[in-house]
Amino acid sequence: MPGTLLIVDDEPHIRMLLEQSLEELEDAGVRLLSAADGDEALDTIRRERPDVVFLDVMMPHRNGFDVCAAVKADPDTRSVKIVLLTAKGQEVDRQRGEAAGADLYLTKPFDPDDLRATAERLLGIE
Amino acid sequence: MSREPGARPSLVRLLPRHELGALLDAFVPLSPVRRWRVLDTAGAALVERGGEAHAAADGAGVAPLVTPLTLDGEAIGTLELAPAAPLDAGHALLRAAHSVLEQALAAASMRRELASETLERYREVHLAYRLGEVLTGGVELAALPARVLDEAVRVVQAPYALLVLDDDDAGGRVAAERGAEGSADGAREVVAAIRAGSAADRAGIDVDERPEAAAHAVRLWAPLRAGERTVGGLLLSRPAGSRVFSAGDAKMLSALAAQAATSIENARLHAASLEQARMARELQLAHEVQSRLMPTVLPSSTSWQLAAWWSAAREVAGDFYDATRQGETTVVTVGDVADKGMAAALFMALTRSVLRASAVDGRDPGDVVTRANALLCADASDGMFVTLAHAHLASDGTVRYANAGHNPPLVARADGSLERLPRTGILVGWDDAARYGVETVRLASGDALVLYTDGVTEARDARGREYGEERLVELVRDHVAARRSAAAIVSALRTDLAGFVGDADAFDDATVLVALRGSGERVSTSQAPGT
Repeated sequence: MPGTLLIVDDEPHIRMLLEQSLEELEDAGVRLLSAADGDEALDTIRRERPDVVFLDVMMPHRNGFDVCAAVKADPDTRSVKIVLLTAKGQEVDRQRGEAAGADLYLTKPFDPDDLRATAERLLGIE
Repeated sequence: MSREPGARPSLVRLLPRHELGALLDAFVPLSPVRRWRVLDTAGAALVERGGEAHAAADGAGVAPLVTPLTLDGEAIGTLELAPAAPLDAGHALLRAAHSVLEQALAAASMRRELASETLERYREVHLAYRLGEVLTGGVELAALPARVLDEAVRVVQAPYALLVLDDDDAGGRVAAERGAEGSADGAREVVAAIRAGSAADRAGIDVDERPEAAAHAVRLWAPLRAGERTVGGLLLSRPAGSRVFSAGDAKMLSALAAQAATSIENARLHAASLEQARMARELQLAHEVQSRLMPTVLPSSTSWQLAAWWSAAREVAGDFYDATRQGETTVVTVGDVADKGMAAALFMALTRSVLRASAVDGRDPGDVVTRANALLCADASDGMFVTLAHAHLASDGTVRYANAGHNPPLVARADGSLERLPRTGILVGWDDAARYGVETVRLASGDALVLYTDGVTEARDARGREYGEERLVELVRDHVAARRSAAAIVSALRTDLAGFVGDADAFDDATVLVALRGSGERVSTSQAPGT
């Protein structure tokens, strides 16, 4: 049951790393999308209804917490699973993320293998 | 789990469709080309741009021009132009489009390689974080190897993993194993391989093509090195025909092995220091138990005033003294087991008990020691001997004694003269048939009998000089002549000996017992053992 996965990071290099870590999922039929900021992320989520979103916390304007809270507040998008990408050791971030309703956290620097394993698990891919 | 190194990414992975399309869009208006297409190696169109201005009628019969798109000399797709009119294959437009696409592909490829390297760094950094958390979180030595293997198979996928520690004489113990349980033959194979790998100072990769090695044919190992020492090794294996481990895998396993080795070594040192602390506690306990074997109150009387001192070079001693009363007779003993440490202490305790049990029924000192020797020879393990000075002090001043290989006790007279009481037999524990004679000496009021062990006379100062019998004799003689009490003589000896030895480490146990012939009127004092 491959689905759709959205990568959100304002930093192009990190976005590319995330994409490259996850691109093998495309072989399993997963559709990979990406967005470069919070607004684009919200638009894409509302339009494409991804199953899983890897969402960077630190973004200008609309940050990851805001996007997460908005997604979880909307009955149409509430079921989208959100994985927040936070900086290592930012416990405060974690608490804010919990308040915003995030499903999971991964810390940066992320382990590419963890990232893919997490995506596979959330997408229900063996 | 990491990407197979060297595998060429597909064209569409290098340049997504929208980027390919954007590049073609730049060329479309420039040419009388009916259709532009980029195809992958399987011939599927990844992107297509039609020049609508030149609709179907134009050039329908003109053959398309096809040129391969290559990366590092390898074809990864095709650029296809369907011109509206016959076009030279070397046409500038075709060359330009081809060149732009290939350059874009080369740039994308380089970007990917950089990204791959960055991802590899991410893995390593993440591994370092994880290992820091997993391995330094107060993990016990016994649980560490399994944790290390869990991490190893997590970062470098393999169905089988093994951790060997070089902590026994057999040269390698399987401390943890993952997967392929029960394949004992295979395990032996890999143990041999890891030992070969452990001898080297770096990770290694190989493929064993022998049929009997099929279960573990593809191997990767890394030594566990703590400082300059190889403390074991890690090995991962895959069955024959599996993907060979990559240099990146080797690097990851090496990074893990380096941290694991340090953690294992630290845990080992920690365990050793705990064990040492436990031993120290037990020895302290043994010291206390042994101290209690020495009489805390000596049976002084108006006839004999007793004082003694005992000091252990280590936590436990082979020296001892004893003093009991049997009717009107005071029985005193000083002994020295010919060794130090725990075994000597146990033999000392045994000797004391056997002597006490033997010194009954008015046996003379020679018979007591003869009897004790026979009993101790039956019980003593090889190489355990004890020298004894054993004396029976009668209230009239008569001293009957046996000297079993012990350094001669001194009799210091109040008039300043001195006698040494010679041996009456060999050391105890040597010959179960040995017999010990008895000698008699009479002490007048104010005379002193001094029993001591060689730890007193052979005590050394920091420069290695011996205290010596002469200095002991002088001290005793002076104090007896000065009519000092038994306790005062012992105390003076302790002080003098301590001053002589200074900061030097005590090498041997030291014991002294002084029996001063009383006037029959004086109230005696006694002294408890001290260290």
